Amino acid sequence: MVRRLLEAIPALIVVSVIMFGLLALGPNPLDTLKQNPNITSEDVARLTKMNGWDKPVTQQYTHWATHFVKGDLGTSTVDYRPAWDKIKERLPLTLMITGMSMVLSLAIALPIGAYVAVRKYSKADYAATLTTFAMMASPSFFVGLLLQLFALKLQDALGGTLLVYTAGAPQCVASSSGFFGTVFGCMGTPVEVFQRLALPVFALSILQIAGWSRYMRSELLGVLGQEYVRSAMAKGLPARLVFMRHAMRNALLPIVTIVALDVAGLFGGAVITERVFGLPGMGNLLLDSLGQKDIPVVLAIVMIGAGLVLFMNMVADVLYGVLDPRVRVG
Amino acid sequence: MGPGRMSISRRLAAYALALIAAAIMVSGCGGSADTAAADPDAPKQHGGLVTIGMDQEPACLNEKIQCGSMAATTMIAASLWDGLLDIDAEGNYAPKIATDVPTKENGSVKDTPDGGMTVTMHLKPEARWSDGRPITCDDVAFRWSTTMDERWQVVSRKGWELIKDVECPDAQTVVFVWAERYAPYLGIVSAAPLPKHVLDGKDFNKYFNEAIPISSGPFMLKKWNRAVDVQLKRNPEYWDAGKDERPWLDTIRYVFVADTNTLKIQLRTGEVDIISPPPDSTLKEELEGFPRGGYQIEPGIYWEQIAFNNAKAPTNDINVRKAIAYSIDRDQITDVVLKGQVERLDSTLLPAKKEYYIPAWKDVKYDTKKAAGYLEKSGYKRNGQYFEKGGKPLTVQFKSTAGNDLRLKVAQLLQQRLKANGIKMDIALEPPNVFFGQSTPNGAFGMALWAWSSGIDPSQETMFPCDQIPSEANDFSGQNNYRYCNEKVSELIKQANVTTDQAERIRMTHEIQTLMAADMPMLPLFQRPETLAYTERTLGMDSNPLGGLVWNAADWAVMK
Repeated sequence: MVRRLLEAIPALIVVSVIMFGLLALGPNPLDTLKQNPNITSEDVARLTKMNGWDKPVTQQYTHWATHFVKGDLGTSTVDYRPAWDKIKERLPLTLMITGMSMVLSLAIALPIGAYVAVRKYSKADYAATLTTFAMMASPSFFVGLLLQLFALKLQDALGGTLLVYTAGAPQCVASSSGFFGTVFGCMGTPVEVFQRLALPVFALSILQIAGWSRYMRSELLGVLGQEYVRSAMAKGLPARLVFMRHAMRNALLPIVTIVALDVAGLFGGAVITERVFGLPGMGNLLLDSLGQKDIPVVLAIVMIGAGLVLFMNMVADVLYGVLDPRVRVG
Repeated sequence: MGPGRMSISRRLAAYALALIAAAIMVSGCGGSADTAAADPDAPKQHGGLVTIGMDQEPACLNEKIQCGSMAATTMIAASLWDGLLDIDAEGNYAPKIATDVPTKENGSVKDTPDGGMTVTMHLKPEARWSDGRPITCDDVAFRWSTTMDERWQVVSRKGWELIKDVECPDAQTVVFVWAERYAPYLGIVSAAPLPKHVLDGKDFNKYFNEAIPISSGPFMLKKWNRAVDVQLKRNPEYWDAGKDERPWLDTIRYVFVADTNTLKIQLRTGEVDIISPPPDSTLKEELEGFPRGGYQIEPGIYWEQIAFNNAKAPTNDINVRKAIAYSIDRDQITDVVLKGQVERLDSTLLPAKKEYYIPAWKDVKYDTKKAAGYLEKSGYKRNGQYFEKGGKPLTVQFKSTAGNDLRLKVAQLLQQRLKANGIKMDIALEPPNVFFGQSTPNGAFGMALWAWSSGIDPSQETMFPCDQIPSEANDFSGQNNYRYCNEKVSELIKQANVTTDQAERIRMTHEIQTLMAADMPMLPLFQRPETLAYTERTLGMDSNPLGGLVWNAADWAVMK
């Protein structure tokens, strides 16, 4: 485990250097202010200097890296707040929608995959194949827009009652603080959580449901053809027991790896979903910060994302060991 | 799985399927809800909440410093701070905290023998901060000293740096002492005072960023729920409440949704009450199809224009510039791209500037013969598709910002028309910060399309004078990206900026526009339409691009 962590350090350094270089060497976002004739080049130069963007890139990077190693993620150049303060306002919501999406995707994809695997080449199998391919081909923003239009039509049909919100964070009714800060504090009742998050979670899950159900089908088909399954059936074990204990358990092994690795993809998908549904999560923060050249915040999010991929890889390894006693974490 | 359980699950599945099918059928019918008919003439009532959907969240709440330079902050701040002057529904300066608009004619503006000037203003004695303290000359002087304080990240000091002192003969009298004569003085003296008794000794880079405990406007900050919303509440001590005890509303809530399509859907569902979406060709049709609300479209303060690079071939040739200008059908652009929402613009000033405005470019209309004539004058000969000189086809490099559908459509129309007139146009679209940060100041373009924002004053001192051409020599300062230099125009712009004689300034501004139209350093296209769309429950909506979206928020109300 420690070795794996150490192995990840060079990768994290490379990621940070590339991201920092791309941002620092990129154009100055303050230049867009020049569209206003009242803001002069002198104004832009003065503010650029105040942000420290006039210093050599290597000096800027060293300054950032030194603080990062000490656990200081830096201060936003947009509003001068600690980067971590900005992230911790947004992280819970992103974790919540990605977590809910994962649970929903698994809850739908695995049964569907298993169902069509045991009914290979049936009408249900063909229907599932067609549907999943259509789902894979639908970009998140398009699915999001369709869902919003659906909500609008549903409202018309219900005489003006809005069943699920099309976008946005909830109106805060109570003050809140701490890690599960503003956003969770605002969520209110479980009903409101459902109303707020139903559409984005579903939009975010579409791709996973499609992908994971295909994996499940294909893995299970492979396992069901194995000799040990046939032996178990020949021994006279109940079909359900053979299916659950022998076939499913083995078929789930590669799925665990895929799901764990897809978590990073889920975070990527959350960027677009949060944008479309106006959710104040990390994805939206990342897009805003990129546009504003807010290097400390962008790098903090990227490093957290990279750390998450690493962590999920390790989780996959551990789960592998749990599901298959022959595998032990080294 | 036993047969009984199977049966239940099948029934459940069938029930769920039926529900989904019913929902889809109902939604497919497109039936609209019968909501209670609204009566726009209903008398206004106090109370209620209006939600405004914005496409960005402010980085901070202090609109005077860098983090507050976003449009979102400006909009929120507009309801918190009253200025000495206001902009009325017609786009003119009007007294607010001050008793009069200072002019030379009413004796408030005086030239001084040292080449400077003084502007004297009187404050209304009833003007109060929300904590009940009077708004005094000290607060006005504090605004000036804060703006000029090097410690603070103030975005623009243009105009302020020419003031050498703000004197306070008494609490209600302010005298701005200018080191030079400065014609656009109203833009400076109209500014909102800052509460000295609250801010003195505080860190202006931070103190108003998260929370603002005071206001001089109709609303006060109630709460900023980071990443969620900004809520303003009624200022119960509003000094300009009038007999109606304005503002009518209890709360204005700003929510942040970056995606414009989502905002439009939210307006239709009633999740937000007011939006101001960016212009596009289908917007008007979309809003017309919205049964439970209204909209207003006005020519806005951003005006699109074709810039020519006056220092680089082939557009350094006035005949080429004119040939291109006469090859562009500006009426077609507004008809096709904007579906006639606005008309073409014929000046570098907006028609709203009334006496300063003349339609100097009005005769520049699509004319194939004229375009060809100008090119032949410069030695170009048509050879097949394109005009040529020295065996090379006449080619112009066109640049604009990527990700802007409106500009892309304009570019495509331009390309077609220019091709039909024998001019090859290569299109390159760049990210906005590359375009504004590198291409335009470095002159790396032949033709370029972008918009300027225009304030209420007609001054254009950073855009067209010779000494405003960005170069290494001046450290790339100035915004004359056209690299246009006409000494007479430069001198007139300079003079128009320092005269306090209104009639003389008007005359010079007219002459500047006439000379520029003859030189054709650029071609004005149109003002971007500004849209205000709202639900039927909102009352008092009145679009005023120069005044800003919330200029009359004190008069807004909602139907109960």
